[in-house]
Amino acid sequence: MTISLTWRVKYYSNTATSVDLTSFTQSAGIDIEVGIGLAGRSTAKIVLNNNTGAFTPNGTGTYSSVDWFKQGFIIENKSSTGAYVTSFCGMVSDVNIEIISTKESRFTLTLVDIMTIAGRSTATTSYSAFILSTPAWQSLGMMFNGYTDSGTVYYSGVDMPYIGEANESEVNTFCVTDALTYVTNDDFPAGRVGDWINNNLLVTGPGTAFCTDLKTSAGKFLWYIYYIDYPLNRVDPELYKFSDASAALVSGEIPYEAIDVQYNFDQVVNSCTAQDQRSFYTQTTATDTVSTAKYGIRNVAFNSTCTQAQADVDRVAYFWSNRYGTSRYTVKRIKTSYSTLKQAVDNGVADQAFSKLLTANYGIWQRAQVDYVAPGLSSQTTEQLMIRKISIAITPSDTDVVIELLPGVDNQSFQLNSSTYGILNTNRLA
Amino acid sequence: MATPPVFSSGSVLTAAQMNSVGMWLVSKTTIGSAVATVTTGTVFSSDYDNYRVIIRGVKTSAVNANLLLNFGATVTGYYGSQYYDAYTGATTGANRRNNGANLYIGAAENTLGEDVHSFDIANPFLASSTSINGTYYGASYSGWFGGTQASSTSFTTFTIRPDAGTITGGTITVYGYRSQ
Repeated sequence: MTISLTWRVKYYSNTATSVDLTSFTQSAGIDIEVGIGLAGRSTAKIVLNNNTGAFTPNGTGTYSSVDWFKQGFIIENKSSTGAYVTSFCGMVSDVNIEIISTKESRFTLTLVDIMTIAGRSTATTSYSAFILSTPAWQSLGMMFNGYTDSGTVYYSGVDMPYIGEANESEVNTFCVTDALTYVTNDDFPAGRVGDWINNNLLVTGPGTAFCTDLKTSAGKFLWYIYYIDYPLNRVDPELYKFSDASAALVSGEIPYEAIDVQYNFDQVVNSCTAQDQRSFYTQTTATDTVSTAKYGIRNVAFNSTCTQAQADVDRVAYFWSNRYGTSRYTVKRIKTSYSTLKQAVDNGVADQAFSKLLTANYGIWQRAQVDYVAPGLSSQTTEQLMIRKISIAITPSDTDVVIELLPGVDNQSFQLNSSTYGILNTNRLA
Repeated sequence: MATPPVFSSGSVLTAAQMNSVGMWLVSKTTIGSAVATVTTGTVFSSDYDNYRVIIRGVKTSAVNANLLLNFGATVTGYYGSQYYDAYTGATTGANRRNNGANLYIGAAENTLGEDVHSFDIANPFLASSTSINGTYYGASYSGWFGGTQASSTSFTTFTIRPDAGTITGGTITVYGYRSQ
């Protein structure tokens, strides 16, 4: 079985034209991060070889006249047998040209995802009161795309980049869950879409959302956004198994080089105050008294939820107070790399798993199982965790990956027949 | 802890809460077509002391037939009675068993399948007498029935049959009452 990992860096000038920059790429870095109640964020940095002056502005090089800020970028990878999967998509936020000598130069692009770019937009009107109740994931799409019914424009959305097309690009939100948050969109003040998402929408439920892909459509581009609703369980789950390779790896396991196990006391929340944006319902404060007796109050307050019933306000308060009241000694991050994988594994399942791990769509907010043995422990410890951040450093010779993790017990919901998330007195109800 | 079955979103589902669930489905048996008897699978066990049985939708080939109950393979030592009252007021009466071969559990429908028989069974798995009491509606009759199987046999199954002809369709659902 051949283990391989192939990267490709390309940008779209329009839906018919994509330009492959892989051969110029000296290195690249990707960070994908999510947090519950917050919008996910993806950033990337691409360092291109400009020794020939191909990218020097106002020069004669092939790319000297490209307006980098209007292009749609994709960084993608593939395993030996899989198809290309998108690790990052976004647009350029900064360009840096480093001239070392007349024969050596580096051209660096800094990129951010579409939620960051479009979220800066200030909506000229309040988010329509005509869209009174929608699932949160659909409402997220409407905030960018607008809402039109029977020819009447109730809310025009925000200005999205055209990326060389005749039509604005659009957001395509996606959610696969067994329980939905319904939100009311009444009385949102005129303001920035990013503030609506972070202060109103994602704290309701709560949930999180992150960019996964950029795809071409008829005459326009579609930005794909994945929404995680309040049960926190993905219905399309992957399980990545990481091992310290102290024993023989089983099929699909990915070996890691380093592990960091720490207390997560900074994440403890044992009290939450929640109220809706309109103050239509009663403010609810929920407290985990067992936790506050040990640690004192660690309160969070969300007073701008777009909940549509008192029970939904209560759910927000109970969510935070019930889930995060325990300080745990847990795996915070692990480091692995393609070279480590290739040395330890001759397994096609691990080959494909490694490729998918390096993406938002298949890697972020997925389940991870990590085995480790620490001094003082008589046997191997196996932890069930959730992937909250993936940092990827790409060079021509290797790909380094740092994965930051959260305890699965706090960040997944009870699942019938599951040996890991169906445990009484341990796993939580959605 | 919220009083079951009211749960708060995000709370831990505890063993104590699950142990407070009072009734659990044990089995559901679908009755075939034109059968003389129906015997359940293993439904009685040490998991529960007492059970609720609901039989519904049974159609008999004979008019005004009654359903009869046996535990295991035991065909003697049954003591009990059944009261019946027609909603027309035309007929009331009782059927009795005094060391009989089975127990009456109510009249069943001939054509409509509207009948329902609901009864509790106490101690079928224990090595002591097994007693029942319940009510029914079928074939325009309502009534109650009760009785006992007066032996120290431990049973795991029961059988129903009509006192004439065959039966078709309907279901036998058995629930266990949690008592620990």
